[in-house]
Amino acid sequence: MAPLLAEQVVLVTGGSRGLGRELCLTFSRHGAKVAFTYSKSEEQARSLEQEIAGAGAAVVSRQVSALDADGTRAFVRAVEETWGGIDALVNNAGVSQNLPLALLEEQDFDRVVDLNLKGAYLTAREVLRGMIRKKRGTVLNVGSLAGVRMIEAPIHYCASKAGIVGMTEALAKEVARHQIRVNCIAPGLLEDGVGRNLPEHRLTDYLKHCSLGRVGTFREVAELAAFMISAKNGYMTGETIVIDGGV
Amino acid sequence: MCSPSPVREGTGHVYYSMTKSLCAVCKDPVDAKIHFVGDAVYFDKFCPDHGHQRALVSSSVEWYLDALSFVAENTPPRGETKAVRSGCPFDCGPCKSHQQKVFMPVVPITSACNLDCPICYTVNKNDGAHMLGEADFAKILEHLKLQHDELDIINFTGGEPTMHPELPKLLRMARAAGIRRLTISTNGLKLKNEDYVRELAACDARIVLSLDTFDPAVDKILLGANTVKTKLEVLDLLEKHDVTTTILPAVAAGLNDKDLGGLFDLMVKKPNIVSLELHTLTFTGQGGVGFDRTARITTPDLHRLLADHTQGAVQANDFVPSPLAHPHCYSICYLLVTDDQKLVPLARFIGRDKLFELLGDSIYIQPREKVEEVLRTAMDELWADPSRLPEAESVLSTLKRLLGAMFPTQKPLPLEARQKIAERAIKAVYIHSHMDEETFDVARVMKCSIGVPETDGSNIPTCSYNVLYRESDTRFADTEMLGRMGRTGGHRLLHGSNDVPSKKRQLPLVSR
Amino acid sequence: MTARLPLLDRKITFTPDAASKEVFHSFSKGLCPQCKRAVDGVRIIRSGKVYLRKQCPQHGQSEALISGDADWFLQSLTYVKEGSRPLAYSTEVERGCPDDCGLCPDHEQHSCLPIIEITNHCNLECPICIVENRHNYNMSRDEMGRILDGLVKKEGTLETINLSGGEPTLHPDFFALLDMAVAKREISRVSISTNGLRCATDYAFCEELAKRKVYVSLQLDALSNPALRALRGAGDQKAAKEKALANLKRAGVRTTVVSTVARGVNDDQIGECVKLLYENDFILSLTFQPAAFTGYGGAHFAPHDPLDVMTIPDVVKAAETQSGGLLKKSDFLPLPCSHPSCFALTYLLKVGDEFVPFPRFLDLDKYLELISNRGTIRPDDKFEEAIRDAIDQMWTSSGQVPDCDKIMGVLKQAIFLMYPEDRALELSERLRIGEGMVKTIFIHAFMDVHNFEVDRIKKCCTHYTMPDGRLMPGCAYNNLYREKDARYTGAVGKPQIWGAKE
Repeated sequence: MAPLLAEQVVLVTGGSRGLGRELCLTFSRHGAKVAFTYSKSEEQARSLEQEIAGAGAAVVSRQVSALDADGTRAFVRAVEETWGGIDALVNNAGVSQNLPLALLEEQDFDRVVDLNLKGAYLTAREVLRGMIRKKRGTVLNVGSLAGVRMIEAPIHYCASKAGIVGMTEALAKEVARHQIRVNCIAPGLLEDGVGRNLPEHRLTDYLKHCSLGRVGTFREVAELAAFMISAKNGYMTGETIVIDGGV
Repeated sequence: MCSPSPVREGTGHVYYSMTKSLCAVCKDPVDAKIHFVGDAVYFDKFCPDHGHQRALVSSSVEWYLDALSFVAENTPPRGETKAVRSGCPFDCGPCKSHQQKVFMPVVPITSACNLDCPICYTVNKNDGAHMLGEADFAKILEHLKLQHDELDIINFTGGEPTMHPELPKLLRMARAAGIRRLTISTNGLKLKNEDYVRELAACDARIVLSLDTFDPAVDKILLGANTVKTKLEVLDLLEKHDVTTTILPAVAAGLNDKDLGGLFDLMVKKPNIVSLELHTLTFTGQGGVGFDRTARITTPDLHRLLADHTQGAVQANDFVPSPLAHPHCYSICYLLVTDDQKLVPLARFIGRDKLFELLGDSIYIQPREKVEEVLRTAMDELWADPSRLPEAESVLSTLKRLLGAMFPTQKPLPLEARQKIAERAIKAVYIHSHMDEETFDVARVMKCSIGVPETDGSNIPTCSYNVLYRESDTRFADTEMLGRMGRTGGHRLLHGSNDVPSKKRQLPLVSR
Repeated sequence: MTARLPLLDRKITFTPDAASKEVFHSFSKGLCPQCKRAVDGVRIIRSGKVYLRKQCPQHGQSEALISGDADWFLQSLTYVKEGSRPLAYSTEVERGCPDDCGLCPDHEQHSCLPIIEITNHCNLECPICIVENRHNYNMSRDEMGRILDGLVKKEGTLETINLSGGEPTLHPDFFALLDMAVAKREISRVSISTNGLRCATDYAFCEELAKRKVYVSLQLDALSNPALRALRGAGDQKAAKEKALANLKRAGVRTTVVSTVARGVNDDQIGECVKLLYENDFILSLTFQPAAFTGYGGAHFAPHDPLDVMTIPDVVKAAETQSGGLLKKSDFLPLPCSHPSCFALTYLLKVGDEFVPFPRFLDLDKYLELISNRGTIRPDDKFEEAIRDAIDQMWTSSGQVPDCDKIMGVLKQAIFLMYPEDRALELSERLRIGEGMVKTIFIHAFMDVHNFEVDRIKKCCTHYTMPDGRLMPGCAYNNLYREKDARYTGAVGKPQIWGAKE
């Protein structure tokens, strides 16, 4: 049986660390050619490239911020030229910041919302050009349980992740006419994720409400993401799938 | 030894197919072979009484066949149809051979006219002029409502419709009957009166202004009068009162074909002029029958003239036939004028097939849902691949501005206002070629979707009416005028006509 | 800019609803099936097929199927080319088509295929017969002489003529008439149409035919008796046909197989006929004739529904489905020489054991050039040029055409054989060589009163020859003039029908 993502070209933003890293590895394991962006962690990017290439798979990366439209366009073009076109985009690049209302200044708000929400939009726009030309493709936005449910999390982070859900739905409606699917994956608390610096009582509180009683792994989320961007998921669009262990 | 056998020669033309036409002399029905001679299309006919005849139908084989490659379904007329007795076009209307319902009724509301144009293609009567009464018009409207679920458009004509004292009333009646678009075909002379313009504007009428040339010398030849100055003044008034206007020249080869460019530019320039309707000169009517036939011009000639004038910005391939009529009757081009004054034919932006599809609901594209869908997809595709169109950027930024104007965030606009913005952003060129007995093709008449409705619910396709029926219609044709035309009355095959046998005229055979 | 016909890149644009609703396509003058008057008609596209709907002032509306495939029909319309004029016309234009046959100066094509009906005697009573045999006429030598001279006067040279009937082999003076035709040097090919009964029982007869290099068009609708009986009448038709084929083969007679195809009767035998063509060298071509209901068949063959008959694209489709992949719809094209609705064909090149349709390796417009005003491929300069071009094309685009090496090999061989260095061959010799390498499948659609179109008859190139010098376009004669032919008036003779006792 052919691998799940055989012959697929996937672009992952923020792919050098954390969930992004696992996404790249998992997609690659499933047969995809992986392109990823990173903003600062050059070393980790290199090591990830080596790991993937070492396993005999195709990989390429570039340092470009999600907010850099021109840079993104250039990288997208380069990937398209090398591999013939991008089949899936995973908007994963995102940050968080543990700040309560009193300390949350305007520039903090802007930074997180820009990177998480606008960045996803700008990248999607550049990749969709080629997808519309080919009349096929899929976009997967990485949201969060925080954008779907009322849980205790930073205001600007939640705002950006909730925004991701709305954007997913609107974008899905617009590009469906071109046979392009847009979905969102909303993980709960994950090992070593953006919530890693949670105060202890918050963690306990979360685990109390989580049916499976544990945090999730990157791998588990990445496998679901792989399915969602694969051709097997042909009838889903505009959907946000929550993967949180049953909160 | 034996001499070599003589060799057969080619016929010198390609025989494509056959249709039925009329004898140029006696208007009897005759077979017409469709011949491609070089690059032109001719009807090759034989009348047992008047011999072989040839008529130029198109100066381009390419256009002739291209138009036929557009295939649309037809909607047969609802209700009673007349039996076929003498065969098309003598059994109007409609008879059992008719294939298409009416999409635009053309109502001649009066036989009076304040001009006597040498090119006139109808027959007018000023003494004891016919004026359509309100009661009769009400009957016509009733029948139209019965035959159609909704009626998009109606055209008021004549004679000269502004000679009818109750024109505004008739307009209001039509609007009350639910007809969306009201157009008036006029020479515009009476529109010099600003109050009248105001009144017509209040009735939401659209003016189709006959404007053939800017050259007074040509005006004299075509219209027999000095009308250019007045018409230009009328255009100013129409602009002032923001009346949606169409300019309609009848184009005659060697006379006003040179004015085509100027008329096109005028349309592009003026915000209230939404379309240019070009009529190829047709030789019917009180003027037409006697007009010099070297003035005959065909649809592809007009494509060429426009392509030359716009230096290729508008070309033959930017036109499509109307799916509602026979493909040779209408040739239609829609244009977007971008903010930086570039002309982008819609066909290049949305594709000829989509343009053809959008024209399938009504004679004029209405800004409806289907249009939005098509535009959205085309817009996405253009944005994804701007190399498809050199003017891609201009188009996209113009569309962005239009959307902003149509859906302002401050205060939402009513539907009509929005539609008006959309409509005014697009210009159209309609080429409409009416037939005379030389170019008559029954296939075109069978799929005709415009026509003259009567109070008894019948309808006669316009070209049949112009060629055959009007001459027996005493509301329009009196013996004096018929005498001037050299006619003696209705054709013997028309039922109920004065059975005066048409004189067999010993004219030299018509040949081209 | 001159339009190049046919417009090969012609795309047909449909509105979305066109497929599910009725489409009025064009006007066409037809015949009322009841009174045979010429009446107004319209061509309507409905459910992917094309119908002719007519209005008779007396008998009202009637409808007939004219094409089983609207796409084929629409594409075929532009397969038109300039026709040629005969050197002389026999009648004047007085009343207009189709009342002035023939040929009148308004006719649009010369006589590609003249048919001389030398007798109206026949020894079969085929339920599907398109003529009406009255068994009371045999052509005299004098009449034959006049006809042949007249043909030469009107055509100059003739590539082929056909002797028919009735059953021509019944003519008491058969060989005398045949020899008159064979002797004419202006006529390249003489063929006879026959039911094959004489060939089946008289081997010497076949040898005589072979000696004169005459082509035999053997009537053979199927290889099974039930189908044959339904079309041809009683008797062990299958055995007779098989014997005829065997004798013709043994004698080396160049044979064409002609199959009349009627819906629901033998339309499933098309594959069998194609197989017969492929497997026998002596069979040069195969002609399918979708059944037309004129003459005896028109009155007697029952049941037939004018809305459900075989048309050219139906035969093409059947050939595709029944040939096990050997033939495809795209191998067949309308012949531009007659009206595109009358003739379609494909030429097959023998490559080893296989037959490759020409359109698969020859540039389409070159191919059309070759077949345009002629019924057969003529190995003349144009042909040679086309073959050389095809060779070049295949060589430079190596691998694009499947089996191109093999095809090139065959084509090379053809050039050497047909244009040897040492001497220039006569056209007839080249024709013979060509015949060994090329087979043809024709589809020839005749018209009956239901699907008659005046449009088509004007470009007809298959003409019946009259002793008074007229040439009658085939379907006009079958529908309108045969019943008035002065030669056939008089009491109906007493026929001897083969197989009647069985």
